[in-house]
Amino acid sequence: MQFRPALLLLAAAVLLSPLPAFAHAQLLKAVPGVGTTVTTAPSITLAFSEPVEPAFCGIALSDAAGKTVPLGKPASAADKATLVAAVKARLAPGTYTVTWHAVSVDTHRTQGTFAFTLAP
Amino acid sequence: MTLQGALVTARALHFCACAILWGGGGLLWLLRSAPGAGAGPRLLRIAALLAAFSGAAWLAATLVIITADYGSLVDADAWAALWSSSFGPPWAIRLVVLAGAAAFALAGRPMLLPLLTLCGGALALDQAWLGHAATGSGANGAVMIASDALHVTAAYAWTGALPVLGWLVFRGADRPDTKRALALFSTIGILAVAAILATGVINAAFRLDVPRQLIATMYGQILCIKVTLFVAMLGLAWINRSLAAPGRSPGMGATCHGLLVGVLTETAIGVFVLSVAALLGTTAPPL
Repeated sequence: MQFRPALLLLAAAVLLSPLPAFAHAQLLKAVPGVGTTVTTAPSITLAFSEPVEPAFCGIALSDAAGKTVPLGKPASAADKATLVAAVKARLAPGTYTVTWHAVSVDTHRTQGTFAFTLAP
Repeated sequence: MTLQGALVTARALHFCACAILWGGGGLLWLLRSAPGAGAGPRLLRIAALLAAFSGAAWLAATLVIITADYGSLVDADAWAALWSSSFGPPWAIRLVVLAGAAAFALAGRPMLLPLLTLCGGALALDQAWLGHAATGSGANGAVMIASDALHVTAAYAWTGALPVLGWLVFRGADRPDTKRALALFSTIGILAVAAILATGVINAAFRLDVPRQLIATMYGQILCIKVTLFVAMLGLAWINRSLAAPGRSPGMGATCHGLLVGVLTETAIGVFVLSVAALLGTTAPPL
């Protein structure tokens, strides 16, 4: 049977080829970045590994004293995998904590937290 | 039981019920016997009602998990957000099909058997939009959806036909309709296994970067358990196929008993496979 080696080669090629892998929505990049020091932060931008559902996502910002900073409602960018929330208060220099949760289009929920510092 | 445990349990029951509707209903439909009474058709009706209840439980658990709030179950805004999300339309279609299947089951007329079977097929296809395959986009996304839909449809055709086949063998392996069912199932089984293998490789390729993630990640380990159970089912199917071969007489004492035990054992492993699939769908694949 000559097609067997061809089938095995095809299966091996599919298994070993660098196809994109997909997972629950994981945070790939944030602006301000995780643990970074910035001079301005007009908004919080979170880029995820896969499209998310904004209606089920949330971003919260708090200062070093734990006081909540008001943010706009998170909106998704054109790629549907990036969330942007405007900062609706003037930020004083200091360390801030971002707490987020996201629901991917495959209905899985992820969450996380990170800090950044606003320099004078 | 944790909420996550409830979600996996609801999904496992739902998968088993949908499999019986599609695979079991399909086998009875192909036999064209459409018996109005007996354990086989009764099993289909129970499966339709179980599919409706477990489907509703799956949706409720999903809403509570994604909102992290039990109150969302009675929150109109949360439901509105769900229906307007990307997974809202597939869920709406699923609920309509489940309601239809439950109505057909309660009507209890033999002529509704094809409709119950078609409901099972629609539920198998719709499932692709409610899992990991929904995360793709463009051409990759289309391949992921098509592969997952075919994978589930084939898996349900095989595992769902088994309990009905067991019922037919129990009634009498030498009856004409049982012999015909065994021959039909043999063909269905070969096609289903080929489709499951091909689409299983494609699905794994989309969710794993490198083969070592089969061992190194939770997702890979659960997938390995599923594949092991699948291989066990294949081995058992081969033994059952040899017991039901035309040269043998399946109606004769020990052979008939062996065939019945084999089919029932294959059914039990099928339930395990679908339960593992229910867990796998809630586990994050590796990046």
